[in-house]
Amino acid sequence: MLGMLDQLKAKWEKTEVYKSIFRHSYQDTQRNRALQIVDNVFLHLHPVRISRHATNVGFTWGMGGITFLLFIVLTITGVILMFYYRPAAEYAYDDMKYLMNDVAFGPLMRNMHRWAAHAMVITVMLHMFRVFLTGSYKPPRQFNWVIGVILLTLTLFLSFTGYLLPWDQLAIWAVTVGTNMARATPLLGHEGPFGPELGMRIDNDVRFVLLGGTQVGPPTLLRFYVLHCIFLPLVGAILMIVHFWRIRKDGGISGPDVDSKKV
Amino acid sequence: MPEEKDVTADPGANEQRPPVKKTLPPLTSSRPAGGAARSLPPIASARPAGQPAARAAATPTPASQQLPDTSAPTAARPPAPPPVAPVKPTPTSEPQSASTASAPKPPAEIRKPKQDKPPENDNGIWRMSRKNFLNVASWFSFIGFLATATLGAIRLMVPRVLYEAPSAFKAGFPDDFIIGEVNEKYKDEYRVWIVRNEEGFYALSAICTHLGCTPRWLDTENKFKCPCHGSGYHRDGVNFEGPTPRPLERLKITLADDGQLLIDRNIKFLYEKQEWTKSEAFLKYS
Repeated sequence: MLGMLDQLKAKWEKTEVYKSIFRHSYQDTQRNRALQIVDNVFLHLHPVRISRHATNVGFTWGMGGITFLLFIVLTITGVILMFYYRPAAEYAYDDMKYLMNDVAFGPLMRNMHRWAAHAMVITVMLHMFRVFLTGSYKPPRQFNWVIGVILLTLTLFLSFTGYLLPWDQLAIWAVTVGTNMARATPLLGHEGPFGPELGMRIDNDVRFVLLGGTQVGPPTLLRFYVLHCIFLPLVGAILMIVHFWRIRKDGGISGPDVDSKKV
Repeated sequence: MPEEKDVTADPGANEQRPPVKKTLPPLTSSRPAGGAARSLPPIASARPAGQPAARAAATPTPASQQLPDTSAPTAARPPAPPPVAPVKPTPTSEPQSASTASAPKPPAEIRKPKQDKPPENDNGIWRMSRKNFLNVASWFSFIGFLATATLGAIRLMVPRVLYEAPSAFKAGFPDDFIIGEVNEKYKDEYRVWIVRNEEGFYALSAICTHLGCTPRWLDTENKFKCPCHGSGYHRDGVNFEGPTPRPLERLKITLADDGQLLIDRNIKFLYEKQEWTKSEAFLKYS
């Protein structure tokens, strides 16, 4: 019986399908391990080799990787929530209640989405804090720092747009308060510096474009939904690719001088 | 385990040494030693040719290695158009045309790197000539298309029709209001309180001047109270508690031709600007 299984396994491993998917054996040689990384479109973002200090959790805290993991969690749970949520004022609140009370595993998905969103803001902050403490924003990594700052604002804006979607009193008034800041945008806000001089009114300034109206209403819900589910994740994912690629181009994870004896 | 990670997947190292992990030296020793090379960016030495001039200039290489590259692009490039302005006779500048390319070359030692520099006064794709006209025109139309599409997309985001309550509305006849009452009939739709006192009417905007929530009128406590952060206002709209910095705003209130109250939410009167004394901020009625 076992011999038959072994035969089947050997046969399966010789098929075109198997070799297309796995490509390499599990042979634990350094060459094979390198090939497993560089021949895989997802894994090849990893550097082929890393320095000793980069594996030290105490140095990086792993916060960038945790942030990316949370982004993946948010993407998966968010797509699942989209199967039940309709971004219209008539349905949004009821759909949220439906998810929380009657959908199987609905509360789990929504709570995962909510807590991962909170955690992602925190981990992004901690990641930037670590980068600041280790001086990793300095040349040659200054470009990646700027990408990271844009990613921070995208994370906050994702958090803000997602806040409105439950369409309850907390969401509406929190977004009302939050978007009132946009009134004071320089040049583009009707209460900001040089805004009125440039012809900005409440019904044509940047806040109006953001809300799709002069107050938080059904057009705002739809706009924030599209921003939250399509636009911001797309831009964020593209910038994340640049961010990860740039780490390698800038010489990997920063660290002490590699020639120093103290390493 | 950290040691295994440390030497993760170094194919070069594997070929040169027996694959014994324990005895492998740390990563740094497999790099070329030497102070000058170490001060460079780590991958600079592995860079292929044709990198940006700034990086290439930072890599001091012997002039003899540069020589083959010096002649290659000059010979391979089709003859450039005649220069628009007279070329400075600097030794580092490249030959500008086929005629000068055949001229005797300057000595090799003063030809520093930067051999990849384009000819001076060359506008590249923006070179205006008969041959290049379609090229330039294509770029202009492409950029024009992108700009138009971007502007159109921005304009699309500005709605033309709003499904919101109109800014000006009629609020019924003055005699229907009770003296001394804060009328909340128009609060839900228009966010406006209409207050009737002995002298007449004023319209208060139900938008908290702190952060924009809608306060509530508490009749028993004779005050407006915002549920968001606790700002409180007197019946006349003047703030007295909570974080709000200024009184509620009053709105333009007049009598329409048919005798109804007419309130325009677009015209605001601010207490701190002494605008409450203006005629349209208060409708005298007895």
